[in-house]
Amino acid sequence: MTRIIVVTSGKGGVGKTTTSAAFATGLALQGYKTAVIDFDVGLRNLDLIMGCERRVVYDFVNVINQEASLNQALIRDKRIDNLFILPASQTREKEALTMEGVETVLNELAETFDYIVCDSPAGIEHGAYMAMYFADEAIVVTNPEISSVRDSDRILGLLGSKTKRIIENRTPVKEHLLLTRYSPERVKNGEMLSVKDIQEILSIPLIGVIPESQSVLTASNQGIPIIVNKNSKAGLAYNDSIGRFLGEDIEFRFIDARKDSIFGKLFRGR
Amino acid sequence: MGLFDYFHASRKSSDVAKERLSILIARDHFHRNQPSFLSALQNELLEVIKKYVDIDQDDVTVSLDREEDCEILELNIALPEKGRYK
Amino acid sequence: MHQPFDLKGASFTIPMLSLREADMETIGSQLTKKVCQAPMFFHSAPLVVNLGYLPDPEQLNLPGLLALVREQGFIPVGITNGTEAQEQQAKAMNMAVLTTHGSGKGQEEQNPPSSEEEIDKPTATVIDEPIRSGQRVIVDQGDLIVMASVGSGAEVIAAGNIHVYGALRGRAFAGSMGDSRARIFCQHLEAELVAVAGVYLVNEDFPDSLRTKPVHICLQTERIRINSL
Repeated sequence: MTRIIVVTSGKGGVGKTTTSAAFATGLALQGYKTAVIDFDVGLRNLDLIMGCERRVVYDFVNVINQEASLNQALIRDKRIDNLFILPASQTREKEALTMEGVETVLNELAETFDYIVCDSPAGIEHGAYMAMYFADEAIVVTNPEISSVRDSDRILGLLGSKTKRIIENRTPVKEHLLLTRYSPERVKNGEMLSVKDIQEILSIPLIGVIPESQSVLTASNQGIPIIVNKNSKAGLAYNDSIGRFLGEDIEFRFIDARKDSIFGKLFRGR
Repeated sequence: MGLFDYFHASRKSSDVAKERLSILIARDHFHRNQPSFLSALQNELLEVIKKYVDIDQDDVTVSLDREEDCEILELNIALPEKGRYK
Repeated sequence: MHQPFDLKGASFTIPMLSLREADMETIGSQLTKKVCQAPMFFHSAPLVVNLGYLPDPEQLNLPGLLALVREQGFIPVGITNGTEAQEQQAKAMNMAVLTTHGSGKGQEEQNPPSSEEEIDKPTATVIDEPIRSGQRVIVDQGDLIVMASVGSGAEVIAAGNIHVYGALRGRAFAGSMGDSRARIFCQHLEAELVAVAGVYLVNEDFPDSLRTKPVHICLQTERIRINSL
């Protein structure tokens, strides 16, 4: 049974595309046949993060308008055989994503794919709505920062009222909180909302905490999803999140400030 | 350290953020839950008008504004140009 | 910074008086009847006078009409669909001239294109500005000449040849109507995709030796061929 996952946040710049790329890659690495779709028509970026921008011929809107077949538009990842990317169109209007068109594409993908990851655009406009409407699960990407938390709360409201599952009276979309750009040191100094604070406010299960890391920028510069980098805390944290998503019980790491002092080391040893 | 700082130094910015957020979100929820009948009203109006005139979803807008002790229900129906009347 | 005011667009529903004849007496008596039905509703109501339905607009005494509606308690704020002379007259009386779209009198056809002009079809479209991500330039006839760069995520499409005198970083489709003799010329090849008459090549398949170089691109035995300039 295919699961459709929407990666959403309301606010822009919090790491939706990075997360979509990481989740799609992570699930594919676990052996699941996965497609990741860019819903940000007019501002496409997923192809850059996935490193396939030089191979784009057709896009999501071409498929919806039946100007190309789904197979023509899907780009197979260079590194992982069972990972496919469906890029957004840069030159069309957002409204090109019709409800019927999106549904047709998702249904066709569902015939052969295990997971479909929908990378939502920022905001709560048409594109974001289309990305979430058919979802079975939602990864709500949030920064430890008040405007991001508020926007996530808004998105959770929409997930709980405007999705197909709700309208058809089925079990609601399964929601997961993913905190990104987390800095334990700043939390310790009282300069940043803590995991606990945010969880208390949004009250949905936590699936991962990704520490702020230079390696995320490096990965995007190179067009290699961060999850592939096993030397990066952010990459490892995404890997843990995938494990939790698939039902494993994994302890959270990188959420406490480093105990670098001698005392810290001594006490940790006990 | 000024007097102002003296009183505020003990308050961490993350605590301030959490407090502001809690209030904000409670208020957002209040507003979000308010006019749920509006979209239903809009759809019903649309259905009725559609019987006589060829209009689209976007041609009917309904909004509810609150000003102190009075509420203003605003209906805006844009009729099409001549020739599309049924 | 504190703003002393906001200047924004707003739309109001204002009654419009559309005249079908110019005779003051008839208008006056009919208007009195109408106002008597709901005196409070019309009292001090702003009013726009539509002159678009008048069979002979020249016959109307505009100042007289405005005096008449004022007498009935209206505050006339402007006219619409008047003749040029009436618009001048209205402006002189501090009245606004409102333009409508679709309502009132249908606008007269603005100089239908003469068939002679169509004979001089442009053979090339020249664009001086850079074409940015998300923009799309489509030329249905002849060549497209871009004097600047075509950014990543932009598209240039022409029935004929495409010349780019800056860097080509977006996508270029020459011979979009099927002309397989069309070519693409550019000073600096970094395109995402190039196509001639529907046959395409993506960036990844470009020969490395020609990247960032000035090139011309054509179709040879059904395949895209990139040649150094």
